[in-house]
Amino acid sequence: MLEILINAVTLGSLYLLFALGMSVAWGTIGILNFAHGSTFMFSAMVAYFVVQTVALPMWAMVLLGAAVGTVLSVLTQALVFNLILRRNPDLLKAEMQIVVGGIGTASVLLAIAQHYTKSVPFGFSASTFKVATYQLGPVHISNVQLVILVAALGLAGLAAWWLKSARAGLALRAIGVNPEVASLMGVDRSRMALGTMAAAGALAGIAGVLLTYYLGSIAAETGDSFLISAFAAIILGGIGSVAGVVTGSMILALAETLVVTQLSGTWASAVAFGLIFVVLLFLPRGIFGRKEVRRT
Amino acid sequence: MNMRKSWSRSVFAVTGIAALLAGAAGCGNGSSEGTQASEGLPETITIMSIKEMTGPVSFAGENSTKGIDLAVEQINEQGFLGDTKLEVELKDASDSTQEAASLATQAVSDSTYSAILGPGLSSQASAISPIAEKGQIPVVYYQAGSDGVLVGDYTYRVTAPAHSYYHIIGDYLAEKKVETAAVLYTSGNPTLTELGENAVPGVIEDNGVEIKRSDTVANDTQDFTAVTSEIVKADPDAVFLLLLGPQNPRAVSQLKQKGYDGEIIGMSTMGAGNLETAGEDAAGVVWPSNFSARSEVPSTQEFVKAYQEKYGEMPNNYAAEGYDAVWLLARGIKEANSADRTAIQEGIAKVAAEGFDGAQGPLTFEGNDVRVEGVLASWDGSEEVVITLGES
Amino acid sequence: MIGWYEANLVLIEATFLNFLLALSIQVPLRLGVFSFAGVGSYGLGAYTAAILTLRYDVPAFVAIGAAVLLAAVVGYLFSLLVARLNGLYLAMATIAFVLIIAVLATNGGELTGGANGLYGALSDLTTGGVVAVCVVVAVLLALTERGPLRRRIEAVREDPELSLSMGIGVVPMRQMAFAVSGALGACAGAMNALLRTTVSPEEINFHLIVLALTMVIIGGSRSWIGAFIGSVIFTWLPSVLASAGRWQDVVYGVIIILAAIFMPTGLLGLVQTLYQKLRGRRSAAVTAEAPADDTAEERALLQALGGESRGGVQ
Repeated sequence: MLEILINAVTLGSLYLLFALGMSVAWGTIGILNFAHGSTFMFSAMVAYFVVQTVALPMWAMVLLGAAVGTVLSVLTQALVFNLILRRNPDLLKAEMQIVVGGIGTASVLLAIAQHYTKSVPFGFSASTFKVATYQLGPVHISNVQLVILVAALGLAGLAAWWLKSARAGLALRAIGVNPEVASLMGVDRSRMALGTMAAAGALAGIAGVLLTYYLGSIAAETGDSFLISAFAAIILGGIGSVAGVVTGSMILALAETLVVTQLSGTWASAVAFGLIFVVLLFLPRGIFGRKEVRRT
Repeated sequence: MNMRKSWSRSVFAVTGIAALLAGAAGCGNGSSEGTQASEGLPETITIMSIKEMTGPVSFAGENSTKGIDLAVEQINEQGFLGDTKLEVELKDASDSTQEAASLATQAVSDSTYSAILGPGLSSQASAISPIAEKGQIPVVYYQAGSDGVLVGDYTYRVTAPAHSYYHIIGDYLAEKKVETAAVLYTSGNPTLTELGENAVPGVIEDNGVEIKRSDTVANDTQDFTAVTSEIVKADPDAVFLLLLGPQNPRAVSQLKQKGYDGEIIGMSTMGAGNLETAGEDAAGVVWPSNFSARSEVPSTQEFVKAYQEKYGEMPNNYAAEGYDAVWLLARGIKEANSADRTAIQEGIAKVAAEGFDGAQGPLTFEGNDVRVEGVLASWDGSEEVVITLGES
Repeated sequence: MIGWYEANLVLIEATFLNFLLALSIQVPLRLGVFSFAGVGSYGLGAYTAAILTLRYDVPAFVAIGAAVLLAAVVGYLFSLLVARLNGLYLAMATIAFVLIIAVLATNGGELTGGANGLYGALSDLTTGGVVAVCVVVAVLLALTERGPLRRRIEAVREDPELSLSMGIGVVPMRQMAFAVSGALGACAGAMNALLRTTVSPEEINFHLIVLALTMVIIGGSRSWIGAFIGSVIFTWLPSVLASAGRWQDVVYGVIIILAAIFMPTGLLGLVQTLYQKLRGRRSAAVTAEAPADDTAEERALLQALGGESRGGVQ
């Protein structure tokens, strides 16, 4: 039972790492970035090509991933989302365009990655970091598993603190609540948006590198598979809340782990999505969702 | 995400089930319209090759095309068809079922095409088959292991289903004194499901091995932490992994991380360099395969040598299958001595009835589906090798 | 010409099927309901039609009719279930619905053929039949795009609460949209299964949702014409781009990005705006900017709704 719990928390941390950046951007500046999965994968891929020539340690790979993710995300914001918003200042009306713009961006990144990797899985076996396994009582735990757990919870804590206390975080939350009033109060929305997307991109890049270490390898299409789980985790927890995305990821992971170990892996996604369905029926705004002020 | 791309990496059903359904379409007597029915070969015979050159399975389409090009080059240089030249027109269907079906329709309605070299994705192949049967144009598929692919006289497949040669693992199990086993398979894929539910348990039990656990994962499963720890807890002597290509290195690494040190046995999705990222973790993994470049069969070595000369690399199973597909077609054309589609189909049927030696070794046919002897391949930590068991 | 038609028959049929699929997303969207349940109905319809054809050998129209009816009922019941959900929360619930249908199909044993799916569903459905169905659907939908019904639909989309207070039956209209969306999706799925004679669980996935959404948003989300434009573009684009070879998928993505940026109201909206500009310039001499019919109607509607509250913060 303990082992199941640890495994569930590990899977939850994978989801959390992936979903965190997406959740921050969505919950504050209202951008649901469908290219998040591709940014994640692309950062890991660039890190892979670099590590093939220089054997880097893990921390350097993580930094590299974060840098690539930041650049991609800032470019996406500047070249796609910002241009959409400029033509369509009403965020609600622009929502669909942003989703579709993200879909387009994602297919560009995916196509480039498929071209260079031929969709053959890639991993960081050339890195200086080596996986080691420890036995704690009945439980096997690996060093990379520990890194994942610490990174996921640490970054989530950092994001929560930043949104709550830092000045920029406050301004961001203000945008999330009411963009117009916030801009009247002197919040520079487009600069804030660029900064947020940069942070979200960095998170995507970090997640890409760490998950590749943990899973051993990913393929060009892996980002897509995580995207829908992340979307589910964020909705389950409630948009705009870090506690929400943590809870959502963990519940989703626990449900999947229980189904895989007790029933059959075939049903895992059905049960996980069935669960989301049920939760939403009783809590139409997710578990931690605030009362929506933007939309009826 | 890319909207035209399958959500999960739709894997190559590396094998298939041989349940050949009796031809749904009538056995064609009448020659298809527009094609010259006269005896004798024209100057060139054009074949449409529908492959996945972009998208999530482009590695298969690309390697298959390399094998095809090599075969065409040999046939034309040798003058295998006399003065007639074989010409292959490559069309990219990516992983879109609609594109594949559309290209097949174009081939049917354009009388310059005498036959089709089909794609490897089951979903595309089963969309092409009814069109080909109705339009009476011969199609030779590789991979495409699903039930609905071979539905009549005009559809052939050059990848043997894994269940037809999986029994060669038996001696290995005996040599390693395996007594208990666990099976893990991907249930969203038709081929792997058939293997995991019926074929592999059958082979395991025939060898007197007890199955302790059988688990499934979905097509898009990325993380194997939970399921591998359950398997390790059951402590089997051997674990059978019947997974999609990219899932293999992950499952192997995670099994090892959980402290598993028994035998790991897979299937041909382990090949084609898929275990490379697992590196040392995967050393000692074995799998029955339809093809290995290290096999000592003469016809295989001939192919490997020619391939290395042309491309400077070792061929994988996709290349071998592409090569065999063209040779099957060419032999059928020679037999028919005509560019007429129906005549070619009848020619292929004759060739299939006799079998021939190809890149995959001696090929025989069960109906329209190929059968091979199979080899036991293994990953030694850095490359694929062939295992020969101790004399017994 | 006949040669071209025969060679491209698959794409021609696919255009019409994609049109119906796009409509199944567009119909609820016109009411401001963000539902992808139509894609689930596509799967439901495909399997229903294939099973009926394989097991009972019924004529095509019976198989399709049964599929449509079943999906409409399921759609209606589903709308009762998700009555309290809105926006992206509703979108997520409907995505869950689609994925659960796919998992059920994979695990349906003999009934659905499991991971193999079903094949060999030969029927008497013709291309003419498909086109006829699409024409009927388009005419019916065109009727909802004019007169009082159009105004009611727009009122519900722009401000459901106010519409409710004005006596518009928001809830029944929503339920109706789910049922219609289910019927349209099932119709597309059923006809696709019968034309291609096969259906497999792989077909019902997230990428189908994305395709349907992209067709509607890029074509135009307010009118059936937009859905049709979208389905033509996205059915034929891959074949057109095949000449771009290796980089076709990149070009494809770039086209979507450009469309999202430069056509906020879809291609249809862009054409309409250009047309109005041209007409406006010509008639400028007669009246100082004669408002087009559409804008006049919209203005009337907005006045009825109390103008300022439009899209505002509630």
